[in-house]
Order: sequence, then C-alpha cells, then structure tokens
Amino acid sequence: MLKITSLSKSYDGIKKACDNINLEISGGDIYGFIGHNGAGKTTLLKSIAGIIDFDSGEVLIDGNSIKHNPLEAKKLIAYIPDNPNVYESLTGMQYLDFMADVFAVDIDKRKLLINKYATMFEISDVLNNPISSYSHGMKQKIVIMGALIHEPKLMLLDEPFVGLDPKASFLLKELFHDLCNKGAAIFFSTHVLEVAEKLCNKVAIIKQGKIVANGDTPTIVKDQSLESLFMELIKES
Amino acid sequence: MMYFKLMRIFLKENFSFRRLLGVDLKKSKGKAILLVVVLLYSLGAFLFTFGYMFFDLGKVLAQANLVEMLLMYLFMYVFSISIMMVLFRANGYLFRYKDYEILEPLPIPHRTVLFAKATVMLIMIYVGIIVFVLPIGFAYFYHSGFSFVGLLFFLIAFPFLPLLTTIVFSLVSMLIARLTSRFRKSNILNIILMLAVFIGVSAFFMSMNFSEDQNPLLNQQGFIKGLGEIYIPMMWFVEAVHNHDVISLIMLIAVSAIPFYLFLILIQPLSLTTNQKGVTIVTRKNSKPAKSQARPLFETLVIKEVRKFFSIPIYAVNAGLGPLLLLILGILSLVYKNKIMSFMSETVGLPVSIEIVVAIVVLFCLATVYTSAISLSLEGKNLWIIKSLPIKPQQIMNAKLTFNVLLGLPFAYFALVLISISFQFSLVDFLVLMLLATTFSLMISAIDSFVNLQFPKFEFMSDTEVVKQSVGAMVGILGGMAMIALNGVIFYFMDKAIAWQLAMAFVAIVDLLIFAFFMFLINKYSPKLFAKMAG
Repeated sequence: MLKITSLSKSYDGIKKACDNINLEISGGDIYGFIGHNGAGKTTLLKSIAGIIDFDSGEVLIDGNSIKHNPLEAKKLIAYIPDNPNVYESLTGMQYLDFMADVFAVDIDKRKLLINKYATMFEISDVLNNPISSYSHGMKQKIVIMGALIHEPKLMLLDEPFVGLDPKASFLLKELFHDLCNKGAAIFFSTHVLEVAEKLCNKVAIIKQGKIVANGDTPTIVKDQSLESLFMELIKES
Repeated sequence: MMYFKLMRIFLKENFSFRRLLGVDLKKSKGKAILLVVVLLYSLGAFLFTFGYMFFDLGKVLAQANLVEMLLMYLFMYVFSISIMMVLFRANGYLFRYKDYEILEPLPIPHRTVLFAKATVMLIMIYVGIIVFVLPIGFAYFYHSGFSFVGLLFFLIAFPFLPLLTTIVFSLVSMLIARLTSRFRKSNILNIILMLAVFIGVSAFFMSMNFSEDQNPLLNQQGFIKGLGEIYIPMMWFVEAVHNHDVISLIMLIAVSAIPFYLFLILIQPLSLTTNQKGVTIVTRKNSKPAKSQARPLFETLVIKEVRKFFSIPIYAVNAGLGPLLLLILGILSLVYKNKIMSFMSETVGLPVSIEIVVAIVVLFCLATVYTSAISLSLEGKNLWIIKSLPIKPQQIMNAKLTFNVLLGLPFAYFALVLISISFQFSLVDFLVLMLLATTFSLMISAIDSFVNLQFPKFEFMSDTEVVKQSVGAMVGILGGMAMIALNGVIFYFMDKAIAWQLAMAFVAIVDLLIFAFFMFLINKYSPKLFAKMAG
C-alpha cells in the first residue's frame, strides 16, 4: 500500500530531517512510528502526504507516486496532523461536506458515514456550530471524521491520540482495526509506547532522521518492552 | 525591565521583515531584491502623487494666506486613519490577544503586558499614518517657510495626535466584538457594525458644516474648519505648530496623554476579563439537525472562499470596500444625477467625457478588490488541508481567482447599468464599459493570484497581517492602480487616433491578453510553487 524508497529531506541543505528512509506498509498493517522530538516523524508523514516536498527518493501509494502522480495518490490517503488546525469559520457539517465534495463522496454515502461517526464520537448535536466553538478534542474528532469520509486506503496520523478523551481513543483504535480488516493500512506516529506495542502489528523507530529499527512488533521487541528497546536505541550513538 | 523585554518580543513578532512580508531575506535574495524594488517604487509613487496633490494645494492655500489649513488636513488624516486602524486592531491588541495563554501564566503583571501591547499598537498606528503625514508636513513647511521651532513642536506633538481616537475607538472595537460574539453570525454582524461605525463617523463630520444646497465636495475647507471648532485638540495642534504657541502644545499633550494613561489603567480589569473569556470555549448544543449538501469540486472551493471572506471582518471590509462603493455609486447616480453633472462641469473641469470618468471610477473600485492576492496566504495553518487533498493547485488558484471576479464584477455591472440609465449612455458606450470592466477584473484577479503564488505569507498571528501588511496585499492594491495607469496611457494614445469606444475596446483586449498571460503563468508554475510551500 505504501512504499518509501530512499527518501531524504533536508530543510537547510546540511542536516537531514529524513535520511535515506525505506519502509513498506501493506494493507491490513497498523504501523506505529516512534521517535524522540525532532527525530523526523512529522517530516516523513508530511512528505508521504504530499504536504512538503522531499529532496530524493520515492513514495508510492498503491503504486502511485506522490511526486509524479500526486492527485491519484492523494485520493487514496487521509492525513491527520498533530494539531487540528481546521477552517474554524465553517460549521462541522460544512467542513465534512467540503471534504466529501473533494473526494466526490455521493450524498447518501456521506450522510450515512457522517451519521455513523458523529454518533460514535458523540458530536451530532454540535455539527451545526462553527468549529471555532469546539474544544480541542472536538476539533480532533471532526478532523478524524473528515479523514474517514472517503474510506481511505491509507491513513497517516501524527500523534492521533493527543487531546482525545479515553472513550474517543478507544473508538479510534477500534476504527483502526475495522479499517485494517477492510484492507486499509494505518501509519501513525506516537510517543505513547504502550499504545504502539499493544495496537500495532509493526513498528518503526526513527532517530535523527534515520530508521534504526523496523518490522513486526514481536520480532522487534523480542523479550523486552518497547520502552526499554526505544531507550536503548536512543542512547546508542 | 520587563516592559522593554516584552516590547522587544512584540516588535519582533509584529515588525520583523519576515513577519511583515513573509520572505526570508537570507534564503531568497532574488525575491528580496524584487520586493524591495516593488515596495520602493510603490512608496515613491504614492509619496509623489499624494505629496504633489498637497504641495499644489499648499501653493493655493499659501496664496490665500491659509497655509495652516494643511495642518488641519494632516490632523484629519491622522484622525481618520487612526480610527480605521484602531477599529480593526484594538480588540486583538488589548482585549483578545492571541498570546494571552503564553503570557498570563508567566510572573508578569498584567499591567506591564497591557502597556507593552498598547505601545506596539501605537507604533503600528504611527507607521500607518506617517506615510500620509510626511508629504503633507513637507508641503506645509515648504509653503509656510521653514521654522525650527515649528518643526520641533510638530515632532513633539505628533505622537500625541492619535491618542484620543485610540481611546474612543478601542472601546468601540471591544464593544462591537462583545456585542456580536453573542450571535451565531457574529462575524457578518461584526463587519456590518464596523462599516456602520466608520460610515457613521464620516457622515457625522460631513454633515457638520454643510447647508443643504452646498455640494460637500466643494466645501472641504469649511468641513475641516468645522471639525476644528468642535474638536479642540486639532486647533491646539495648529496653534502650537503654526503660531509656536507653547500653551497649546502643553494642552494638546496633557489632554491626550493623561486620558490615555488613565484609559490603560482603567481597562486593565476589562482586558483581563475579555482575554479570559477569549480562551474559554463553551460549546452549545444545537437541536437543529445539520444538513449535508453535495456540490461539484470547483463550486465547493469557491464557496469555501466565500465563507472565508465573510468570516474575517478585516478581510471583508478591506477587500470588499470596492463592491460596496460600486453599489453606492450606482444608486447615487440615479438619485444625484444632476448634482454629479454640475460637480463634473464646475469642479473637476476635466477635459474628458463622463463615460471616461465612469470607467476610471469603476476600474478603481475593481482594483481595490484584491482577495486573490491574499487568499492563499490566508490558508495559513490550514494549508495542510488543501495540500493533502487530491486537488490540483491550478484548481485551487482558479477558485480563488473566480471568487475575486465574482466579488467585484457583478457590482461593477450593477453600477454600470444604473449609471448608463441615469446618464443615458448609448448601447455601444454601455457595452464597451461592460467589456472593459470584465477584462480588467479578470486581469487584476489573475495578476493578484500570481503575486500571491510568488509571495505567500503563511506565518501570521492575526489575519490583519495578511490583509493589510503582506506583500500580496501591497502589490495587489498598488498593482491594480498601476494597471489603471497602464490602461490610461494606452487609451490616451489610442484615443487620438480612433473613436474613444474603439480605443477602450482596444484597452480591454490588451487587458484580456495580460489576463491570458498570467493564467498561463499560474497554470504552469502553481504545481511547482505549491510543492515548495511549507505546510
């Protein structure tokens, strides 16, 4: 579903935020992406989503290059940033309609999905209100709903659990499983190692722009916890 | 001292080159040079034309022994510009500042923060008014004969000139924001009230000194004098600078500075309360079920622009003034047809026909519609949305361009229809004017879009920075004026050879070609430029 080959990105031409990254994510994978602050997690996620350009390498989404065939690639993905910056002047429903219009989701399907997710996240009664009146968690929920409205094949999420209440976090995890069962892939960054360990069938650890470990979670973790492995890898020079 | 430390930070946040223009000089030298040239040219052109106007006026006033009137004009400009600036900025500077959550947990007295914020707001106002003060001041000192004491008094008095208006209109700004925040359509109400206040203030002063049969435009001197009679600080300013009257200078300073200081002391609790309310989010449940509506992609992109426009009062008021003027102009042309005709013949005395004047006015109004020069920048932190979606950059830019045309052109058509009926233009004259308005609107919208593609400004603390201070805004407005000048030059030469209708049609065709050229540039370069934009 997602194939990253030799991706490198530098902001200043000297230090590499992402350095020769190679990753492959298949349909059905829930892939956790772990790294310290400034390791390059957000840069990689934004590069995959086509938000920032990268210097070299290739990102293929279901065979479509994000560089050379961005529209086809973007039709398959949904990106959720770490901070839910959305069009605050729109109402929740207007924002969802905007996203659905972009992905040409027909009216019946969008109604069905909006109803389903709004009920699930308990925000049905605020969809008519402007997003500016939403709490951080509500904004996060509306962004997630906007991302799910076209049933993406690949979801890219930057720290998706930050700001969500325990129930919403639980529901999001359930959604991850549902999407994966339908053949979609999830790639998300997180600082919560327990979540990654329990939720993800695969993990990747990034350090100073380089992937220092990746693969099946049990194989990577072996007989220690993900936390101890992470601390060990971070310490190594 | 904490006040100065805060000041330094706020000034850096507000006035650094990168913040003002959105360009990193070190990273893009080419752009920086281009920018400096454009800005210097624009500033020079403005200072020259505005300065020439007042230099000429000063000559006439000096002959009539009324040169001090220039100081009244200067004061008027300070007065009205500071009203506009304070109306749109005071709430964000004093009552709802965005960094409240950063500053308030720190061990800094609220008073210190408020004083620093107020100082930065004043500096912003001084920067805004100095562009008008310099040419008028120069004209005054040239024609009145240079006097060191006069200049010294002028320099001492200058910082105090906008203080009283700042007090009054800061409170008005805050009241409007508080009043409208209770309503669902608070932004639209805010826009309407802001415009109402500004038009109301203008109407009040315009009505002060005119009898019914007088044409307001013929009686500017009476108007200015009338203002001086009810607004005493203006007369103190004139007395201090023109007659070197120390008492008037002291009175001006005292009457401005003391209330301003008291104002800052007294609004402290209010500022604290409003800022606290600003960071508290209360989500009300809405019993009315939300309705979903499907639209084609391009339409939804244009509607997104419409909603954005009406959600930002300063955006709507600045970029939407042209259509409003066109609307008023059209209606007034029906009501005051005879007065306009007599004004045209008596006062203006231009060696051009009414059709040409109408064309200039309509083009001027259209040139002030510059949404496509800033709407990309206004995506700001939301840029990630359009960048991560499967939308071609060309489509995004075309939607922004289309909105700019839709915002201005229908109003231009409306005005032209009414004006043509009022002045009984022939069908050919009417059609030529419509054609010119259409191609001009398309042309400036495309130029503005290209400017915004080249000079986007995504990092900003308030929308005002983009709407009023960004390169897009400056080049958008001044570029529009430059295109009117270009149209004028082409028309001038063509008019000598062929009928004016044909000359105007030729100008329209030139505009259309320029539009096509910029569309080509937008379509060619937008994918590349979008890819470079940081999301």
